[in-house]
Amino acid sequence: MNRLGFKQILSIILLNLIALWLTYGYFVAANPLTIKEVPSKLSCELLVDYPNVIVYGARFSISGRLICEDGIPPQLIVQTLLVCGDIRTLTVNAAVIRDDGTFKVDLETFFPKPSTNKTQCSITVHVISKTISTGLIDKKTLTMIVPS
Amino acid sequence: MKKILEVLLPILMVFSYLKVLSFSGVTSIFMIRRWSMAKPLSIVFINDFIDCLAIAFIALTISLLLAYKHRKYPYFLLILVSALSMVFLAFSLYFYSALISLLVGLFSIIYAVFLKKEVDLLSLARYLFSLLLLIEVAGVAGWVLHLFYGGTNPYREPIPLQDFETKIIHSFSPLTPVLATLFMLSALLLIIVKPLKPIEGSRPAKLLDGFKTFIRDMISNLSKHSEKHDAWSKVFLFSALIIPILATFLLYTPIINPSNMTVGVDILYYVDFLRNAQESSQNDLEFLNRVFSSDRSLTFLMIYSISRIFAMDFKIVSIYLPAILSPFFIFSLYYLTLNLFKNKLYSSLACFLTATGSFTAANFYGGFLANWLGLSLAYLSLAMMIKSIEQYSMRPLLLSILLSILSHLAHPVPWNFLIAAVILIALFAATQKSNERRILKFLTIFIAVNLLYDFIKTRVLKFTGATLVAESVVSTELSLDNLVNFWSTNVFMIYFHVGGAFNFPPTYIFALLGMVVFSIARLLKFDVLKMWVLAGLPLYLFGPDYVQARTLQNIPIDIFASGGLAIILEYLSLKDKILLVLLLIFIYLLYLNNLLRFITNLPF
Repeated sequence: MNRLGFKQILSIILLNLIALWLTYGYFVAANPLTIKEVPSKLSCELLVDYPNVIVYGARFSISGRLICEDGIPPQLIVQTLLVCGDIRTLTVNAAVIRDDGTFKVDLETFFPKPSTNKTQCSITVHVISKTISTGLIDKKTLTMIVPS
Repeated sequence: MKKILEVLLPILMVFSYLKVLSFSGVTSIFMIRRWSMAKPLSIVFINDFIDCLAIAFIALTISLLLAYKHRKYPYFLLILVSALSMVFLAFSLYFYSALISLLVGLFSIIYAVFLKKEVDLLSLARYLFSLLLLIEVAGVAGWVLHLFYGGTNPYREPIPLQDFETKIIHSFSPLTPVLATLFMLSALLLIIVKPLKPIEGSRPAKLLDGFKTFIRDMISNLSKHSEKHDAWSKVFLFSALIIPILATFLLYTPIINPSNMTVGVDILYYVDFLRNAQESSQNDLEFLNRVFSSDRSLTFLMIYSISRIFAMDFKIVSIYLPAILSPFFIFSLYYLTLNLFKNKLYSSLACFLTATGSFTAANFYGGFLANWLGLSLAYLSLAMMIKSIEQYSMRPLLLSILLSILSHLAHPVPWNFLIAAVILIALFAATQKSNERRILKFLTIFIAVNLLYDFIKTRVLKFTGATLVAESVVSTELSLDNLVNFWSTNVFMIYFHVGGAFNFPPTYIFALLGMVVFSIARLLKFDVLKMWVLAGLPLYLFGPDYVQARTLQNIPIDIFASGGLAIILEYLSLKDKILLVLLLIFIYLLYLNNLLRFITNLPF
């Protein structure tokens, strides 16, 4: 009868430990929502008020409200991105969503002055929880006036 | 009846799997318009009730057919179980209804295919791949329609045609970190498994010997069948050359990129560096000095030269540089893999998997221009080195050294991997008797010249360079804490880093098989690739997420994947030629969908 030597026993132990470690890895990977603490399902509606026109160099703000069937989940953040023509002219700002679902985000046109006197900008509002987007998004195209 | 079972079983398996996924509330991370979003993998064909009813009806039909043929107790039980699926449906318990249908499908396959051998596995696989092909064709059609006509806002609604394909692939995404880690560990695992040999003369020992013989014969015959499947080789190679060029231009079309953003993250870094160097330099010599003091001098010089020759802005050149870098990379990879496999099909396949897989996707997201160029030169250098060893000739070795120095000038990371792999293979050769000794001489010359060059550049001339970068990464980034938190870091890297470009499970499955093939083949040229992976292991285990991502970016994983596919395709070429063709088309569309999905969602 064949007997197991030290090397075989060591191999079996190591393989089992690695298998356990990999299984743990699978469970971590199968629960991306758990590890990133994102609410699993949101039945919400996002309403945003945008200014009609924005002016280069002047601050402006957008406000809005999140309405959810089961109440507002905690620790949600609203993040806005303003893109005027190119990624270089990108402005990002964020604000915490209050308990009643309302929020207000202030934005500034930080980027270098465009050479034209009028340009199209795209503003996007994302509701995020830590680093993951919840998928709640609103988007609008605005006109930016550049004073001479 | 056999034919009906062969058709119905794959339909039942695929659709019940999709519905189980749908009702289980499983979520995955998708990159949609550059944002990583958690989205449920829910799929509705008509509505939940009709979908489940159709699946339950197919399950019942299969049970009835099996019971009619065999008229035995287990089959009547199967009818009862299938009927239970209908009962659950009547009470709106959709998840349980779909789950029971899936289990009926699994049981029927185990019994009819493996135990009774009533249904041929290869025939079943034919129908399964035909069905999967339809899903892949729908995916490609969906993306192509979107490219031409725009359509549904991908922020809100998934585009139905490509939704099935995307969700099926994403349902396997929890396997990606495990498979990627298993692949990185595989060289070590093979050493751990080595003492566990089956008892001589036993059935497992015979099976293992047969498997090893098949692989060794296959590897030795690859060169003899180099021209076999010539048309497929051409299709894969041509696509590998053209698709990334098209993708580069697609990225800046109004439908894909309405805000005309600069897509590659690092591109602005290249542009800034060159603009600053130009503005702060009095003359060309000073400018060149600034460029050569950086660790990506060749890449900067390339962008600068093209913009000077064609009078174009640095940014425009950098944005469209992938249209030059990608074909050059494919050329290098083809040359390397042709030296490895001595077979056109698998060399072209490796190129295609790279051009449409994670490597190219990550490069587009990150704008890793220098890495692209550096790895192309490192692969060419490795190909030349293999040639010099095989021919026992100095001329290819000199060329290999020259190319490795150019790789050092292009980007520090690929050079570090190349040198680490060659040092490891030299250490391995030093422990071997007789034959490998003469190889040692070549490897020593290669290592010595490269290290001397790096020493002069970094320590004598005090410029930044590869070993300085490696030193800084090892001393500041690697830690035991990263190993303790390995899975959360690794999962985050796979799902979120470079837009989740590495989250593509098929590559890792094929690559793992490739690792087994290369290990059994026991050839020095394959051992170099294994050492390349081994060199990246400490970075992968002890590094933070972006170091792990850089490691995956710089290891030749697609060459392993092609090696893995070689064994499947060679087996099928002996057994079932139709299935071979179906698999080749499936792989083509699967990878094409991957790149289209990524490119379409890359800009805001």
